[in-house]
Amino acid sequence: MTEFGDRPTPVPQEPAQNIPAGYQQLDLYDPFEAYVGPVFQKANADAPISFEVEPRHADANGFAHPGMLLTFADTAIGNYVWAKVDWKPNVTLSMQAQFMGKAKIGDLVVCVPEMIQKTRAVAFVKGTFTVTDTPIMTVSSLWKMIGAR
Amino acid sequence: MQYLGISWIQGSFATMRTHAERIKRLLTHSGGNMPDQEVKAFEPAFQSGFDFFVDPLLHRRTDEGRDEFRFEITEKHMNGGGGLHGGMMMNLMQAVLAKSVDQALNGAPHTLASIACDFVSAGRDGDVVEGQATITRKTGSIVFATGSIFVDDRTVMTANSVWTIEREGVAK
Repeated sequence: MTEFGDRPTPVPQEPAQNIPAGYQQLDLYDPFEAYVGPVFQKANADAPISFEVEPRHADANGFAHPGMLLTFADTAIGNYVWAKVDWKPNVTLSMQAQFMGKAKIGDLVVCVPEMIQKTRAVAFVKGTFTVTDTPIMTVSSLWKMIGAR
Repeated sequence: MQYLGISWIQGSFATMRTHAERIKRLLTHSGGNMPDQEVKAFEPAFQSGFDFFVDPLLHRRTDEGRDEFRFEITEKHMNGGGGLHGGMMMNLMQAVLAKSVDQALNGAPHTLASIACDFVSAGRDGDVVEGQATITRKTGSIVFATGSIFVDDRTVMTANSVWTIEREGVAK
């Protein structure tokens, strides 16, 4: 078991071919995130996180699948929270998502996360997801610090 | 790095099974809190797209009109701590709800407007996850659906969702 605050080795990933301008490929620590990724982040831990919609992320109509958007929400907000709590292990406790738009293949979906409140055991985090500055999804979520009471 | 070393690099029994073997295991799985029904076999809920990319979800509609689902967790669905990844869990939940809403609407186009998921417990590598959904209410333009996914008698996630029914030729 990993010690509190001790970050493990990232899951091996192929270097991304088309990294959006201003972004870097984000190290991922969960096999499922590496499977659906890559995801990108600007230079610091508070910066937006993004992914580009590929055909494998899409439904039959060429739009980003809502399951993929939820997966990206968990990935983007999860990595943001993890950095904010000094890499202490934590899990998603609940997540609510509202969908007010769609993303199509080739679009860059950008997540701007925001820590609303952090107690000893639970973090309250909001996320706004946009495509070219148009909101497509908003998320509010609760994260439980493992072992904290 | 034990949790990455053992389970991720060496591979697990669940992951070493072929696609066909995994479907066979799901079809012959017994237990859980679903009553056995020999009459209706499970079939893949989706044959393409992101649902298929993340592995087959099996579906059947019981004689009472209830939608039931099965899925096998393998290593690629994991988080770094060795549990089912939260994104995959929501993805499964979304698929269970989407297929059930699709059945209720006889295939009329619909869009997810809102979903609220509670992460009740963890899923593990090799677990057979089962799912059920209930249509709470259906109006001319909106569907309300709730769902749960579970491993044997243990609930893994519960969710509520709202779906809009798309009208032909009318923008959402």
